[in-house]
Amino acid sequence: MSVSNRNHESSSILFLGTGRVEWIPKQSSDRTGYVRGDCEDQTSRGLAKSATELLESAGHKPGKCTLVLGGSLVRQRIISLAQLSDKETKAILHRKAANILEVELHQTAFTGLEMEGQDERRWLISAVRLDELRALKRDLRDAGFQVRRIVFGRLALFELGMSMLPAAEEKTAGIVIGVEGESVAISLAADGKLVQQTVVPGHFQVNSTMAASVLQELRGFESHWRRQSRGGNVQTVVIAGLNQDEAEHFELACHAALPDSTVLLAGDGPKPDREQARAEYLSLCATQASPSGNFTLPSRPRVRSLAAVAVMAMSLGLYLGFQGMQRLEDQRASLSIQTGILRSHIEKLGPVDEDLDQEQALKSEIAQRRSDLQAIGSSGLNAEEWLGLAFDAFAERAILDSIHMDDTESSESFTVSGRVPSDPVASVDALTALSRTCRSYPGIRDFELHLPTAMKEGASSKAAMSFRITAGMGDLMEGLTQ
Amino acid sequence: MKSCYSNMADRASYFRVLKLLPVLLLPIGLMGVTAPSYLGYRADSQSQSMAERGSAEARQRKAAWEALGPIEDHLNRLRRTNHSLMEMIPEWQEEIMAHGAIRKAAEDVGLTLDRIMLEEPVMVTDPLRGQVIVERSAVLTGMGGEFAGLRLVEELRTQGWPVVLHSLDLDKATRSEDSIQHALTLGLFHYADAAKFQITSTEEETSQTAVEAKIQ
Repeated sequence: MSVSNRNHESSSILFLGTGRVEWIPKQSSDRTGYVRGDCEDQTSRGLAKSATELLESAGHKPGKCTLVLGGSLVRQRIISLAQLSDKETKAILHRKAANILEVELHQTAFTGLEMEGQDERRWLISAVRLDELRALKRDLRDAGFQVRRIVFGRLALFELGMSMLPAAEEKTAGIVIGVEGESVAISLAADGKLVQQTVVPGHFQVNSTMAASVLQELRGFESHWRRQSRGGNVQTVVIAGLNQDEAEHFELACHAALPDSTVLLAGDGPKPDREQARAEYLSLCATQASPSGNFTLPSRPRVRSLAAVAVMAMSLGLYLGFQGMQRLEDQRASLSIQTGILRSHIEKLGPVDEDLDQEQALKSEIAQRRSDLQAIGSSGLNAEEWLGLAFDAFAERAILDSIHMDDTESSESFTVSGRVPSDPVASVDALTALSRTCRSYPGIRDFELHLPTAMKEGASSKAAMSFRITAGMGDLMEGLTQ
Repeated sequence: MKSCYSNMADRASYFRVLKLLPVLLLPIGLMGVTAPSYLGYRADSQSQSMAERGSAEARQRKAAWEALGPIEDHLNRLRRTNHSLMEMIPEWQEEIMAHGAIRKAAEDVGLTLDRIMLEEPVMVTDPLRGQVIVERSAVLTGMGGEFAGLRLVEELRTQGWPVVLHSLDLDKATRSEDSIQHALTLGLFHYADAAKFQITSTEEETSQTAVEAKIQ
């Protein structure tokens, strides 16, 4: 049984692995243009040179391609981590990847794929040196290759195999087998996660014991899964990279090793020869868009492009700016004319303003003078009125000796002293009448009659008795109105 | 929790942002060219708004001016009123003038003065046209009829002095029925030079002097 999974349109594919360079030209539906060569120099320049020589020998021209990495170009390691936040986990994975490569953090490109684990989180780290990746891309570009995407073949194939596994029941797992050129990668997956992965080194085709080794690994994975899942089994095995004969033999062997499993072949179907099977394998890797196997370097913005965009943006900005400036200047001119008209109108009214200012100043001056005069007029004593009242009150009742009137800041006071006959009856009558008269005056306040406390020694009944009256003076008119 | 991490996407985002940077030149160019004109336009606009307000106010003033009728007649009426009010207070008077006026008035009303004490003038109003109104206090004692003190005040007013009476003491017990001992405190008002007076008043605020003269 075969299953196809193509996510991307086909393009040229360049594979670089340990000692191997492979090329599949674009629009080769049957992958007949597949060519392969060896490469001893594993530096970026050597790999690029080998790729160029391979294409030249095959009569192909380098161009746009997807770069599939394999072999030791990508380093992998499984680590265990405690439960941490996403940010912390990512930072730790980055540091671990740098440790694997033994370079600084900024020189590390990595992906971390979470694996199935019971007590702690396990991660499969795939790491590449960024400087090597950049150098490889640069050298390939110099050789005429335009690398659009960079994928790690092993992880890409694993992701593809995962997607081909049927919806897993509980305690069931699947195995993805990728027959790479110089090794075979075997991955155990369950619940959409990688459980275990192993790489068996060696060429499947030329090594007769290779199939036995792989089958042994399969049995080992199956027993491992049975223990881990407490009785689970492996339901599906996905194989990629074998030709028709090898696939048929291996399928039979698989049924023998894992009797309950179903074997699926990745791709369009069994390929008659090894080269086509290999081309199929690489195509599957190149078309897979899994994030875990993606090492595509973002293209740096080109200075010329940036400069062109900058010039265009600046030009557009200047053009729009000049347009806006022109409109603003027109509006300013219009405003200036209007303002000029208004100002000339205001200037014409200058004499009016002078007259009004003069009128206002005169009015203010008059108001202040009136206020000052009123203040002066209202100050001082209203002595004439009060003097007349005092004389009237004393007339034929008592003898007036002295009068004192004073205006302090708070009030006006009035003190009168006089004498009455010392005869008790006569003096009481006189003083009572005097007090009644004084009290009847409107405006008088706090009237008090002060009688002598000590009588003159030997005074006869005909002698006079002194007394004193104090009062506060209010407004007579105000008192009348109350 | 994520199940796959990679630092490749971070770099892609960084370069995407970098590619967008030149686009920032668009608003910079736009603003760079238009900013001076815009600032000028804003200033002109504010200037025009002010001119509009000024014009509206000017129209209001014109209406008020027209409502006054013949403006010169109106202003002359106000000037006359102001002048009349101003003349109600005499100009600056030397101390000797006040002294003489009091003595003359006392003589006219039959008040025989024993003593006149004049104090330094005190400013009682705010400055107006460079002048202030000051009050010069006078303390008088003497002998006279019952209403001699009041008549003295009236006489001074008749002479053109704005006068107020602050205190009045009449003592009938000491002399005959016809002659009463008087003690008065008056306040006489006149103008003074504001600038000169203000300086001298602040300098001599605490050293107020009194002129005391025994009447011969």
